[in-house]
Order: sequence, then structure tokens, then C-alpha cells
Amino acid sequence: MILKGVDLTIKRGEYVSIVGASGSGKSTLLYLLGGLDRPDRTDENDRQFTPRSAVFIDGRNTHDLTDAQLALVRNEKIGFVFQFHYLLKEFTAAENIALPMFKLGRWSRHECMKRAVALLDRFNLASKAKRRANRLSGGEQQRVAIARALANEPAVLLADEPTGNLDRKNSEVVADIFNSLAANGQTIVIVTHDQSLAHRARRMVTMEDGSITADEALT
Amino acid sequence: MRWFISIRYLLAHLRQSLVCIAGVTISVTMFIAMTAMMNGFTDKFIIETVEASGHITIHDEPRETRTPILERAYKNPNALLDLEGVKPRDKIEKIKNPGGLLATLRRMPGIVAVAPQVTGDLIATYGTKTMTLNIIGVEPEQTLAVTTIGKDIVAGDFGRLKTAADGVVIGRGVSDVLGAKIDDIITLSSPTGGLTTAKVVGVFATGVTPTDYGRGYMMLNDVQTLLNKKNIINEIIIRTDDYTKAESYAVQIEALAGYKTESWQESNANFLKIFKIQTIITYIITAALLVVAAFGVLNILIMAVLERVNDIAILKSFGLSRGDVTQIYVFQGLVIGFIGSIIGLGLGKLTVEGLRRLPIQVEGLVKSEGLLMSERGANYITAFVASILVVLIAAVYPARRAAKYDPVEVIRGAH
Repeated sequence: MILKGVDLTIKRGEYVSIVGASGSGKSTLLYLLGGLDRPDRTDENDRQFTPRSAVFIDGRNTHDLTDAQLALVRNEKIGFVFQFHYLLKEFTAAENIALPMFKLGRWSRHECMKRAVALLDRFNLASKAKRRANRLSGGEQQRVAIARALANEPAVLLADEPTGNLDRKNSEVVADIFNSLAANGQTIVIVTHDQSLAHRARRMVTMEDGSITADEALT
Repeated sequence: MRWFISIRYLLAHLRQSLVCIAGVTISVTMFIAMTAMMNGFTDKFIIETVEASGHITIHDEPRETRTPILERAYKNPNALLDLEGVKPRDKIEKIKNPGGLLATLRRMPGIVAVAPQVTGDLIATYGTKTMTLNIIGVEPEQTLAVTTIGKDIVAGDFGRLKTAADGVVIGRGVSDVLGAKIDDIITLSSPTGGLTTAKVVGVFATGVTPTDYGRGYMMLNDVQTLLNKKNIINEIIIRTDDYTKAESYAVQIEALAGYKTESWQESNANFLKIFKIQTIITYIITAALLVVAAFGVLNILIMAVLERVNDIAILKSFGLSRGDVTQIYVFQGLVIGFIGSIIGLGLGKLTVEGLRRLPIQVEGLVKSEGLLMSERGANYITAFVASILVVLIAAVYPARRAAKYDPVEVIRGAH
């Protein structure tokens, strides 16, 4: 995927949706923003080149970071939510949320678990804290995944088709969650096909063929 | 966190994990039991041989053999000359001035005791039974100081050699074959024509079959007469302060004495070689078992990687590095190796104790009641370290494979 002339700045507290046809580069852009992917450093003939593009996360240029350093940035600053919930099925709901906190190491094990339960409580899932992830319903799993993305109080929450695999009712629940998070000042970027979800954001970026073709504020 | 995830993953495949652990356990147990058995056997043989025959033996033969006269006279091997019917020179084999040598040896540091002896082969006859006997003429007190033959006596008394006229002490095997018991009179004849009757005054059993089935002891001067070797000493046996150092002492003594001086290691080189081969076989068998166990670990971990590709992607998305993912899988291998080998060490110890108590009569090169087991701490350590190491190596490939997954590709692939 090639992105062309993309220049996008997302400010603290913004709620942005990125829309566009399949293959327009919106997911790629999201993964680049979150440091999950990085610009290629070799061309199609495997020759080294220095990409002119750069991704800044929370003001920090990620170009020269090692993979391990970038992983730490993801751990601390980024919360990812994907279309498929990707919970670790051998772990309970609370443990799934606690894992990123364990990695961060800012809190003790006990505190991590307490914070995980508190996060679940925010999404009305406190009663499911000790349930294995694979014994939760699809909607519940996606809510746990959102809670996990918020575990380390990330600078930005990045969601890739978060409602893509949910029925209408659960999509509504997720959309409401994003709304209330945004209302509390959480920076959110959503990539979605779901027009109603996209229009709930306060800014909508449209992509086409690797370029940004529209960037409008929504009321 | 990495341990936490590793353990949870292992528990998710509890049955396969237990099979892997069992694989490691079996190889460690086998190694412990087999090495203990080999060592027990080897140790018994060495101790009995060494203690019954002396640590070092000086023989009457000079180290270098004389080259035939023709070869000395005509260096050209193509010379058309032939001398037929050349027989070994009729020289009297003996150690010259044994008294002086004995005195010198007694003053050497590291030497505890020395004893002169004369040896030769005799035919022993009792009734209609006949067998060859390697007879050793001894001075009982001196021989008892060098060897432990005194405590191997099962009937009669070694000291009675001195008091009984023409007394002989024979091995248990000899006694069995001839049917001659204590106080029976056997006939001894030598190839040189000597003939005498001797009274069995003692029977010994060292546990080493070649010795028990072929050796007899008589007074030094009796044997000298019988073998027609008047006043001749043809061997000196030596006890050192440490039998493991016998080889280096032997070299010193040979330089001093000028006679072929054999340490027990040299005298028993054939047997020691067999033991070495046995040890190698043991190592090969257990290594093969361990490799099989390692493949089990490799297998279960590769499975654990393949079915958790999504997990790996998500772990990476929320901040685990390649190193973290590698460690999660290496830890799984380590846990299997650690638990497997710890149980293996315990079971190995139990097996050793069990075999030790097994009421089996062993009679081969060594005769004993029950299996001889000799454990060494080093074997336990080797088993532990080797199994952990091998399992670790098996874990590295799947772990690295897991770490290599690109989360973006995995997540896109699921779309």
C-alpha cells in the first residue's frame, strides 16, 4: 500500500473518523499512526532508502526508534481495537485487560487487576471479570477489547472497523461508548465503513487511493 | 507477565505438556539409572581388581624385546640369508637384586607397601578334575599389606599359608571347579616337572570372575621350588596412597627399576576399554531419548505458535516486543524441561534404590548379590543440565518463529 502526500495531525481530545473505500489506505494509515506498522525502508527491489515520511506519536518522531522501543510506545501511548476482538481466550476478561498494564509495569499486579475490574465496571461488565474470554458474547468481547485498549490510559485510541463484526444493537453500544469516551476528552481515531458511526465523530477524513481527499469538521 | 502467559499457555494444553514432560522425565531417569549401574559395575571391578592384585606390578621382563640375531647382523631385509629353528633364548627371567629394589621402593614417597612374588602356571588336579592355576608365591604379611586378599577370604585363613606345610589358598571358582574344599589335598604340577601335593588352607572370593576362577596363593619358597625358580622374584606388587595416581607412579618406578612396570590401568586396559564403550553406549541411548523428547517439545511449541498467531499479533499490538514473544515460548520450553528433569532426577534416584534392592544374583565379569549401583553427583548434574539445554534448543525455533509474525499481516489476513 502506498500513501501519497498524506499530512494528518490529530490533536489531543479529537474524535476523528477515517472513511473510504476498501484499499484506499485508511487501515494502513491507522497502523502507521499507531506504530504497529512503519514506512518501508526498502523499495520493491530490496534496495535501502530512507522514507521521507515520518510519524510523530505524542510529539515524538518514531522514525529512529528500534522495534523494541516502538513496542514500548505502543504499550504506553496507543490503544488498539480491531474488527475481530482478539482476546486471549485462555485468560479471563480482567486478565486480558491487565496484560498491557503488566507490561507497562507502572502498577503492582494487584492494582492492575483492580484497575481492570474498574474498567470492566465502566462498561457494565464487572460481573464477567472472572469469566474466560471465549465464554463471553461477541458484543461483550468487543467491549472487553475496548477496555483493554484503554488499560494504560493511552494518548490515543485507534479503532479499525470496531463495529464491523457486530450486530446493530451491539454496534450502537460500541458507538455510545466511543461517544462517551470522547466526551471525557479521550482522543479517538476510527477507521470504518459504517456511515452512522463515522458521522458520530467530530471530524471526518475521507481517503481515496492512498490520498486524503476530504477532511471536514462534523457538527 | 511473560511467565504468566507461558504458564497459562502450557496449562491450556495440559495433556500435551504432560506428555512432553514425561519424555524428558524418562530420558533423565534412564540416564541416572543406567549410569549408576555402569558405574557400580565398573567401580566394583576396579576396586576388586586393584585391591586384590596391587596398584602397580613390576614384571621381570625388560621393556624392549631383543631383536633376532639375523636382523641385528644384516640390516638389509632383502638379504638372502635364513636361519631356521630360532628359539627364544633360554634366559632365566627374574628381577635382579630384588632386595635392593624393594628397599628403594619402600623409601619412595606415595608408596604404602610393596611385596615380592613369584608367579607361574600350574596344573591343579583333584581326583579326576584338572584345571590350570595361576599360582602366586607370596610372603603372606607383605602381600596382605599390599592387597586386600585377606578380607576376601571366605573359608580358612590366608595366614595359615605360613603354618601349614605346602598350604595353598585358592579362588572360590577354582574350589568349585575342582570340588576341593578346605583341608582337601590337591595335586599341583608345573610344566617344568615340579610336582607336589598341597592342602587347601583358604578360599577367597574377590567377586572378579577371572581372578576367582584362576588364581591360587602359596608360600614364596614353595612356588620357587615347584616352578624351578630358586631364589627368583619375578614380580613386585606395590600399593600406593592413591590408586588413581597409579599410572604416574608406574612411570617413575619403571624409570627407576628398569623393568616393565604396569599400573592396574595398563594391566586391565582391555576391560577398561569395554567399560568406556559401555559408557559411550549409555550416553548415546539417553541422548537419543532426549532428542525424541526434544522433538516432542518442538512439536507442541510449533502447534502453540500456529494456533496463537492472533494472540501474538494482539500481544504485539499492545506493546510486547519480539523479545517478549520469544521469551514467552522459550519459557514454555524451560518449564517443561525443568519439571521433566526434576521429576526425572527423583525417579532416577528411586530407580537406583529399587534396583539396588533387587534380589538378583549377578555373575559375569563381576559376581555380586544384587545389582551394584554407584551414583555420582556429576551424573545428576549432567542429566539436569543436558535435558534443560536440549529442550531449550528445541524451544528456540518455534519461539523465533512466533516473534517474527508481523501483526499487521496477521490482522489484515483476518479481514
